[in-house]
Amino acid sequence: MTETWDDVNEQVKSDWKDDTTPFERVYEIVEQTHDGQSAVEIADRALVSEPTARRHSKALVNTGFAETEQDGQTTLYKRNNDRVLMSRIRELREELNRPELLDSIKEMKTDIRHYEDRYDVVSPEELAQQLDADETDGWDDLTAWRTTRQNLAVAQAALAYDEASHQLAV
Amino acid sequence: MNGNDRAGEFGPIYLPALQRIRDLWLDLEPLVDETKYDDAVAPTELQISLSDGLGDAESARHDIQWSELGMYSFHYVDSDDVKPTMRMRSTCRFFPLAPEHHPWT
Repeated sequence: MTETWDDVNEQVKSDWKDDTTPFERVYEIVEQTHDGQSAVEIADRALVSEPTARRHSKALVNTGFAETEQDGQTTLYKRNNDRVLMSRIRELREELNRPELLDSIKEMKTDIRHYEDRYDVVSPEELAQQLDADETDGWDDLTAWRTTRQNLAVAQAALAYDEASHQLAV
Repeated sequence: MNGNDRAGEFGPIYLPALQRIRDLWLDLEPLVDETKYDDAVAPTELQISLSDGLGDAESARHDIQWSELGMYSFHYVDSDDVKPTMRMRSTCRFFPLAPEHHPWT
C-alpha cells in the first residue's frame, strides 16, 4: 500500500515538473508557505536548484508577494501576511453586504463574551495560563476563541475598508 | 463541522491553501457549479458543488479542509447520498502521502 502511495507521489511530482516552469513552482510553494522556509527547503519542495529557489524567492519579495525573516545567518521566505489579509478582505466584501457583515460582527462579539463569562478571563492567553493540560474542552474552547477573535478582526477590517473606499468614491 | 473539530491535531484552517484548491478546480473542472466557504466570515471548509456525481448521481459536492499543519480532508456527498470521506496528512504539503487512517471511510 505504502509503495503505491509513493508511486502516486512520484508521478504527481513528475507531472507537475513537466507542466510548470521553475518560477511557477517556486511561486506555488511560497504561496503556500506561512512559517518561513529557507531556500534549501523551498528548492526541495519546488523541485529546483537552491540558487534558482533563492533567486525566484527574492524576486517574489521584491514584488511584495513574499516576505523574509532571519534565523541566524539563514534567510527564511514566506508568503506576505498583508497580502493574505487583503485577499481575505476582498473575499468578504464580495460575499457579504454591509448589514450582513455587521450582523456577523455582532454575533462574534457575543460568542467572545460567552467565553469571557464562562471562564472569567479577558483573553485566550489568560485562559491558557489557567488551564491544566488534561482539560480538553477548555483547550478546544481556547482554540475556537482565538479563531473567532481572528475572524472578528478580519470582518472589522473589511468593514473599515468598505467605509474608506466609499469615502474615496464620494 | 464546528470549532472543536479543528482543535488539537488538525490545526487551524489555512485559507491560502483552500483558495488555491478553489482556483485549480475552477480552472480544471468544467462541472463546477459553484464554490463557496461553509461560512463566509468564519470559514472552516471550502464547498465545491458539481453538476454531476458518481454513477447516476445528478449532482455532488466536495467539502474540503486544509490546515496550517498540512492536515487535510476531502468529504464527498452526492444526490444519491454517497458519502465517503478521505482524511489525511500531507507531510510534503502538496502531495498526498500514506493516509493516516483509512482512505475513503
